[in-house]
Amino acid sequence: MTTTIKRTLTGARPLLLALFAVALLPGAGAAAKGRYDKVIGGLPALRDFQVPAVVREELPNGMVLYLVEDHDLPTVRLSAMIRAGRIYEPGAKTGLADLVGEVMRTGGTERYPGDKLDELLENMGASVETGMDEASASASLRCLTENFDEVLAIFVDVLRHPAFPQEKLDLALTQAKSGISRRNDDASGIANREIQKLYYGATSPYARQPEYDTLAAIAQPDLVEFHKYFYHPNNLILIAGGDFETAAMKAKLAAAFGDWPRAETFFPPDPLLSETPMSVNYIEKADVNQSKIRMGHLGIRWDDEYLFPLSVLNEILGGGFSSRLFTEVRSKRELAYGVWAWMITGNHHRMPFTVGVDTKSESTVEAIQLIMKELERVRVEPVTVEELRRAKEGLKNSFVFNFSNPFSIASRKASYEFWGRPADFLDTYLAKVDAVTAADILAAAQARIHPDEMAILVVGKAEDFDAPLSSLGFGEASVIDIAIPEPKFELALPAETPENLAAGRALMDKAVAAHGGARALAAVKSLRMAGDFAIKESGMGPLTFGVVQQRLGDDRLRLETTTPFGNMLQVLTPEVGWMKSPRGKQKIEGDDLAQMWRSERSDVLYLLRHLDDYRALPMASESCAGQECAVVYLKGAGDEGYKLCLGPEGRIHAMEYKDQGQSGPVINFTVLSEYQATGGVQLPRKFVISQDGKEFATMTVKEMAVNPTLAAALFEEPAD
Amino acid sequence: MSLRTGLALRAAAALLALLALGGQASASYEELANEVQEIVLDNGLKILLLERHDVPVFSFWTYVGVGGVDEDNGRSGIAHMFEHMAFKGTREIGSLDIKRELKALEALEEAYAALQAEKLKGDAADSARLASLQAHFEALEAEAASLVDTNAFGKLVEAHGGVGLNAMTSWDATQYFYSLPSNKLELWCLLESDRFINPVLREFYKEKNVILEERNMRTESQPQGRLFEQWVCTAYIGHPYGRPPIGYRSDIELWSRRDAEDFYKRNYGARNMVIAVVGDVYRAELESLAKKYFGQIPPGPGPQAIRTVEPQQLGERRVVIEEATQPFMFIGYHVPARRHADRPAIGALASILGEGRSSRLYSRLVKADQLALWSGAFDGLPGDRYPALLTLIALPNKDVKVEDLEAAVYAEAERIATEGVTESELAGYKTRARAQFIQGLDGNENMAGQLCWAQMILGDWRELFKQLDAIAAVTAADVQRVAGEIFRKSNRTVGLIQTTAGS
Repeated sequence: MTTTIKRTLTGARPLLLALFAVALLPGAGAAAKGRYDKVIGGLPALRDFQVPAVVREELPNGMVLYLVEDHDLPTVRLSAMIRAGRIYEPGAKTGLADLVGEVMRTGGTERYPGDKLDELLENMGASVETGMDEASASASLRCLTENFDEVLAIFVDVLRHPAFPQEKLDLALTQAKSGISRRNDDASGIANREIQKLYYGATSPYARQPEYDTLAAIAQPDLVEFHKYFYHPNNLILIAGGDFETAAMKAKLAAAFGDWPRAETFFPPDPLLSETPMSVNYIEKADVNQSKIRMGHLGIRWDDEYLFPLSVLNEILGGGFSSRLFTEVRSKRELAYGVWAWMITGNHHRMPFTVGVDTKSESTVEAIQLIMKELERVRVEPVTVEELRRAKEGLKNSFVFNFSNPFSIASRKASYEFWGRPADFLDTYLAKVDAVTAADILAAAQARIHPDEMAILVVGKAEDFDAPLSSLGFGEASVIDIAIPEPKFELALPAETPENLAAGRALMDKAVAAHGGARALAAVKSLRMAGDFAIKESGMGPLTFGVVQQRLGDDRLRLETTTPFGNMLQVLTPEVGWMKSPRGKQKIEGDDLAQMWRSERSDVLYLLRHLDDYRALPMASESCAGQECAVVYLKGAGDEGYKLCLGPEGRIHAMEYKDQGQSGPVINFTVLSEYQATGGVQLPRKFVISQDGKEFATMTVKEMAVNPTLAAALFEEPAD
Repeated sequence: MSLRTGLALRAAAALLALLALGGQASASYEELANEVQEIVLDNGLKILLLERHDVPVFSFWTYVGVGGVDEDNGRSGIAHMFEHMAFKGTREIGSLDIKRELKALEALEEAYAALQAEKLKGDAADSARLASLQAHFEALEAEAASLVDTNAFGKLVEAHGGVGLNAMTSWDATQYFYSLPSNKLELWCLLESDRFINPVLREFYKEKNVILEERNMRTESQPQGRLFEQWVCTAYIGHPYGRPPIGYRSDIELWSRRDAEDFYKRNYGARNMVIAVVGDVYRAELESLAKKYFGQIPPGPGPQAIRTVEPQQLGERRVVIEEATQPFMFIGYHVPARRHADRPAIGALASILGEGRSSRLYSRLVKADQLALWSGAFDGLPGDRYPALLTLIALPNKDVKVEDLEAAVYAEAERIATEGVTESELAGYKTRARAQFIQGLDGNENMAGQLCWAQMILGDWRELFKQLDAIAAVTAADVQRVAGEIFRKSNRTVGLIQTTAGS
């Protein structure tokens, strides 16, 4: 008996599931007679029903809206999908995208600063949240109908004009660092994180993790830049569902977002993926009595040719009570409470086929072997008639739940558009599931499930295992070291209170005086210096270069280096630089140029002439390279900072700061000595340089001239 | 009821549904209270129905007023075990030959009893006899297993489109729930009644191992799980809220199938259950099916009242676990049970103190001082039937000493006792509570769960809709008063993880 609603008021279309409702299902089980079979035999077909109408609208600036009414409750929800994501952050700044997602909301806007926003929203029982994922970003709104206009204004402001205030970035960084320090506490967390690195590669944007050093490289302008680059109306789809009239909501959203100018964003190509190689991996976790086992390899995206047979196979192999893994691993051998296998359907990129089981340490190898057997089985044996029928019935009977919630219906349509799935994907779903045969599943399993080419990861306590992991037959397990890399350069700095800043500045004023005084320092308009740079241990033994450095003001630099292998010339201006070597001439721009200028700022003369660009903070006195020193930290923007040790005469005796070494950031510690007065200014003639605690090189100055006449041509683009 | 009447009723309902979709005036959630219907069966079972006919699906929630607190000493976790057993089928589903299977299970039970008796002799046990009893037990277990249609119950539900098949056991209650397409109503009635009338506790001894793995996962192999168990057991020295619903490992290992059967027979019963159904189900049809199926559930004696009242805590208690993981802190303060007149004020206190970014704890400890990575407060642990704990949680940021964080938490809590809360904070809380209540009505499953909880804990499902009135009546003076009563050093139990040096 069905009730078919043919008339519609809102243009909704009736959903005819009757075609696929199954009147004849297999009975309750081989031996059950009577009641169950009778009841099942008498169940009616599923009735037809209306699917709420979802309206799509595109604003002139490219923003796409999906709207659906739902008057059950006096609430409204908005959800935005934005084309941004973690895969677009530079590797050296891993964590940037997540910080954007976090601080967009916690920092609020100029009109609604973060703390005020927290109070305002929570006192209304409303929420506005922002987030970040791999290849998309999100923003959401939830409130009672009566508050919608006010909360919408907040939502729009947060999306369009986030302030990213420094103090909220600092808070987010503190929290992120705490998160790093906790990331090895929980075995599940370790397993789920590390298996992604095995699937995608440890440095892949799909798997990499923020570290203390990558967080330290992130500055407030980076967040502003990220938002400015990606958050445009033409990169955004907005879903609205709830207690409103469609036309009125359309008008409100058009008014709120219509004047947001569109902008083109260049999206770099997606990270390359390569197949997961076979490996067995172990991570020691001593405080557990249960192993977390994760295994698998890269799987599929929604446009895979085997999508439907694999969807059916998911049910048979590893989803729910009906699945083989639940039956074999949990029910029959009671090895686990949690066991699952799933071929995830990726929206943007291939997601993993992943199998997971948590089993006591003493059944680790047994559980893995059991699972391998099941994975091999699906590649060799067709699934049984009963399994196939039950899986298909389950998918078809539960299909109606795709429509149980108007917002999720609109959300799904929006998601299809966002990820490029055909809009009618769900329309053909039932028919495609119905058409799947056991032969299709066998072919799909052979094509897409590879127990001989997968990563196996065990997080647990090997000494309690039933057998060594090598007994799996893939050689010795690789031991993965998850020790959290310590930050290379992290000082506990005093707070930037007015008292501290004043005390720090006073110390620096003394240093200025000891170096000749502010006037003498300011009077240096140019500098020429020549000497020897002796590297203690290069790849080729000790090496000495001749060096001539010439500077004009603070923004023109020329460095000539004479080496046994040829001469090198570097010319730097604020906009561009050039490097000329036996291999040719190269332009230096962008981040590279910025990094080179930053290295130049770690110079006594420069710092003493530009103290106003830094905050000076006093630190505890130290005995530093043989002298009792007062210590001051000069803090710049982002992670730029210099720890200065001031000797008894007040001059800078040593400096410590983060620098770029040959293969990444290093801590540079330089002892300055053999001070001589030249042109009224005290400058060192000897620099002993250490990197990460190891002595690296010594610079000995042979000639120094203050205010020589230097031709402008010296600082122009060198000839080829 | 005649076919024709049924048709007419459905047509009328469809017409109403059609009108509702036509974009009328905004929905009013208050009307929901008038839409909930009650069906009371002769055996005392109450069924609550909220009809929602937009989509042909329904969710149900079976709330049994039996939980960890109702277990005997030495048999902790048995309520949760029975919950697992309720998925193993019945006489009619899950067996390949029920007569033989029941005999095999009886024989298995005797073999287990003999095996246990020998084991309990400890060093005095005869090792040869032990080996032979063990072998005998395993042989009988294998025989019983061969008569099982594995996972027949779950497979049937899933094949018919069931989603969200799950259950949970807490100190207070055991709750079962899932959702089905609405044309499966009668099948659900049969399944859900059968599992409580004729459960066959099959695969019991295998399932013990599954439960041990669950215990490994939730409690023993997780730092916060370890801390939580030790902490809640310390907060309660007499009352069974101090016993974990998962059960102590040694109790689990000694369970027998008979223990679980006895527990079920003594505690389960129609008088101590409520079932809520929300979705595309019509009263007339449900009532007729309910009488036929659920009417067969025995009324049951129900659990005995818990005799022990937790004695007043006279001094601070502390549990400090020193291990290699990062610091973590639970602080629990005793508060009266859910139905006590002060609970609305205590709810306000918990929210103002520790719910959301603008709360006292988060504002001070996380945002301003950056001592905590996260901090919050909530009331509702371990349960609602008996006096509970207002619980504060805090995690220190990297390099922050947990002692400093602890002191800061007390300072914030005690500040409310001495200075009170502002009118603006209180008004904000009331608005928030109302918005959260409304949003909590979204979704069939949520709604069903809420109705059951209100019926069993508050005594009447109508109280669900009256809670907001009680909240509206809370004054700032009430909040300050309860803060003063609760936030005393002698009333608190502190659980800490301290990181061992050199980790």
